[in-house]
Amino acid sequence: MILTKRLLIVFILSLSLGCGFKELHDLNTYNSPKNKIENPYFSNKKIDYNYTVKIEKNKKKINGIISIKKIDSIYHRIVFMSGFGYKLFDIEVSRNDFKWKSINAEIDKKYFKKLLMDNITNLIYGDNNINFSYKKNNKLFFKSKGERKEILYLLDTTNTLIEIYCENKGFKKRHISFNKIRNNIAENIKIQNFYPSMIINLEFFNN
Amino acid sequence: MHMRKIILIFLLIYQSSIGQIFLKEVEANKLKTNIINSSLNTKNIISDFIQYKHLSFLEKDIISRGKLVYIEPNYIKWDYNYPFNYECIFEKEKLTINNEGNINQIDISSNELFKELNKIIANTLKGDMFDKEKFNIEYYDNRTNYYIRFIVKDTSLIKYFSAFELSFDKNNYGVLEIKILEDENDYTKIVLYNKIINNDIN
Repeated sequence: MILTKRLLIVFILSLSLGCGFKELHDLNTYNSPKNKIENPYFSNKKIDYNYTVKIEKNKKKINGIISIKKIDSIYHRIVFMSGFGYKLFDIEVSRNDFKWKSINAEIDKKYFKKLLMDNITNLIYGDNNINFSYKKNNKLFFKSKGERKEILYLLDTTNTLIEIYCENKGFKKRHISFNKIRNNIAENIKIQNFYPSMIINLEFFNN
Repeated sequence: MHMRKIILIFLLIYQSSIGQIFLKEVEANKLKTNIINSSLNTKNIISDFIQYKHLSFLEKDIISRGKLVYIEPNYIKWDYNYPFNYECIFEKEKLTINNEGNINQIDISSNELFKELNKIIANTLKGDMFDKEKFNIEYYDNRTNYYIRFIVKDTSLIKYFSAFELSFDKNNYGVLEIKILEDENDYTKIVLYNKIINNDIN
């Protein structure tokens, strides 16, 4: 009985989450010398990347401000704060390292920190391990394939990164779209996490 | 004697050059009394504000704007309209946050940070912030305004902020600026302007 229930849950989860992104079906292999993807959106040390943030999770909405700054050739500093100005978290991050300077006790949870680290890594860094390239309807996809994780980068006709698809063992994990791109700044960014379900909308603002 | 005069002149020049004069006890007590008396006559305040969030690693401060409403003794509304609409109402032990129609109510009695922030701001507007047990208090005259620095003594508060600083109008002793200092030179500064005191509020 218990086994049947578990199988049913796995089946329902597979239906709701499985099969990956339909946008990635029927991709045609394409020969490209490109073996790395640049992410230009948080790469200028002179720019303060300030965004308003709207997070929707389980019908709850949280607003705030996030500041992302490249501080040297390796590290970015990222601070997320409420509208009222108090810091919810403050981190120094590189491709392989997260230094937590502060985190509010209410969100200092292992699963939340892991989710945050995955989102930030996908959001601000490119990829040096591209091993497959594809073409579909004049769109170019570049895949970085690990043991469990697959990340596909979609570039437009001007070779600009516009979307990122993340899958884990064939399940949808995360989708990021960079919109309203001007001078290497994505003025709108949408991040959709599928499990747990959470939508993050970022709008660039300039004092 | 001649040397003493030179030193005195040098000290006076130095003090005026740094722009602020430390007030001695008698002057400080007089300032404190004037601030308390001014606040006793304040029933409500409506004011525009600009909030500067200073993070030491950024080129520029992050600016937010909005309107503050204070009704004595315990109602404070921060109504932000830039960079996004956001409303924070502190009333007694409750904090109500209105995120574009999505309303959350938080019991701040269990949240040390909110409780202290609310207390500092409410007490500042009420003129009731001179708590010598929690803070070392320093009084200054910076020529254009009076300026009071509250350095946190209470170890349970230091993890949230190290000090706060208030600027007061020299004419009416009303608060002009609230600056809350955090770690590593980061701070939040709120500047009040277009302030209306004791208006009819329905």
